[in-house]
Amino acid sequence: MRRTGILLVWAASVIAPGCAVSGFKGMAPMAEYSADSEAMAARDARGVADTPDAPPSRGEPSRATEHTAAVQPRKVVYTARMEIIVADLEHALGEARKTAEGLGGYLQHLASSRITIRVPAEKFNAAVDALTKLGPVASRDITAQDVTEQYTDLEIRLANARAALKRLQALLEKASNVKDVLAIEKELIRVRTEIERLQGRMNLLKNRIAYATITVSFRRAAHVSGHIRVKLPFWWLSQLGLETLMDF
Amino acid sequence: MRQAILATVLAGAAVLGGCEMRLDMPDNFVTVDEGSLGPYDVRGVSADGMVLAARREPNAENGTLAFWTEAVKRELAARNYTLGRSEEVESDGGLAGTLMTFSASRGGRPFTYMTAVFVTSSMFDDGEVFIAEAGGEESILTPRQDEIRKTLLTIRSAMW
Repeated sequence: MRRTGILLVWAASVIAPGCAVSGFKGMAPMAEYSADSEAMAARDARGVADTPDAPPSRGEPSRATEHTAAVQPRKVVYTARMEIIVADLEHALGEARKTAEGLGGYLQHLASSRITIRVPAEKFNAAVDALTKLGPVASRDITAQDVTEQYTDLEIRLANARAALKRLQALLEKASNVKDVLAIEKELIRVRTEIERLQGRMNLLKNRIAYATITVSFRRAAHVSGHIRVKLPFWWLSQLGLETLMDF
Repeated sequence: MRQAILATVLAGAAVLGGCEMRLDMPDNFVTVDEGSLGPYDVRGVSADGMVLAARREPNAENGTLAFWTEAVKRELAARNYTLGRSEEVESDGGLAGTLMTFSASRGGRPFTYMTAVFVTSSMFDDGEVFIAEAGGEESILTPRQDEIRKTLLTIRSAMW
């Protein structure tokens, strides 16, 4: 029973979130990450916008790293927010959607003048280029978030939790009294729940890495050049809108 | 005769600006004292930044609801507001009006702006235009849009 107790404590400590995990197993991946991050820093120095032509982080190792088994490919989440001025909102929204679908992506959210699309990460630059052709870009915010550390940490915690599960299952087979069986089964439930939780987080992270997220807000062009706009002689019309309403 | 005198008195008081516009503010909106400086008769604000307001403006000769609806749409479209919806409505007091819902981006964030326009008629002058407005961040206003819509339709003169 004492041995069982010790093993249960061990199992619990191994899968406890954010504890000893990165201390003993996380060291090697972190060192690999540091080596890899030099290349990233050099690339970042050139600017983020030209980074993700063919993002090296799709989760598949590149040719350069294939033979260096220990080196983890970088995991990067690409996000873009853009504001584009267009003459025809409906047309622009439709074109943005077609762009996503044409590149193997999909529509995530559609509002009256805003659209969020997801495209395969390696098509991120192509998608941004296609969208900028819809009209003048009023603002653009592109982010490449390196999640390698988060990914590695999750991988290790999942592996440890699965190892703990196997140990507990082996222990359960050897348990000789009801008290031990109950204690081990309680721990098994906890470990299984933890594995499901970690797996869920891992799936989400993998999806964010595999598909870049692009949100475009379209703004209708104020006027068509060559047209003269007659201002009506009612001063209060110019005081309609958010600017006056929300100004205290 | 007595009725005619009463109507004249009421209309006169209204024309002289003795009655302010009112809105039945929803729960968790506080009413801001507008004094006589701003364009609004009444304005209310919620802690999360939604604003409601009402005002009145003199109508012009032949100023119909269709005229003011079109004028409001064009004015706001020229300032990059996108009209999402325009609907015929009736205020709780029985005035016919138009409720328009616009979206706009401010500082890269999506906002919603709603305005309802009503036109009154009068035996003595061209009547008035009643305007009710609401605005706030899209993520905050959208879940309460039905409630805000109902509030805009409560617009009335304090004399009523």
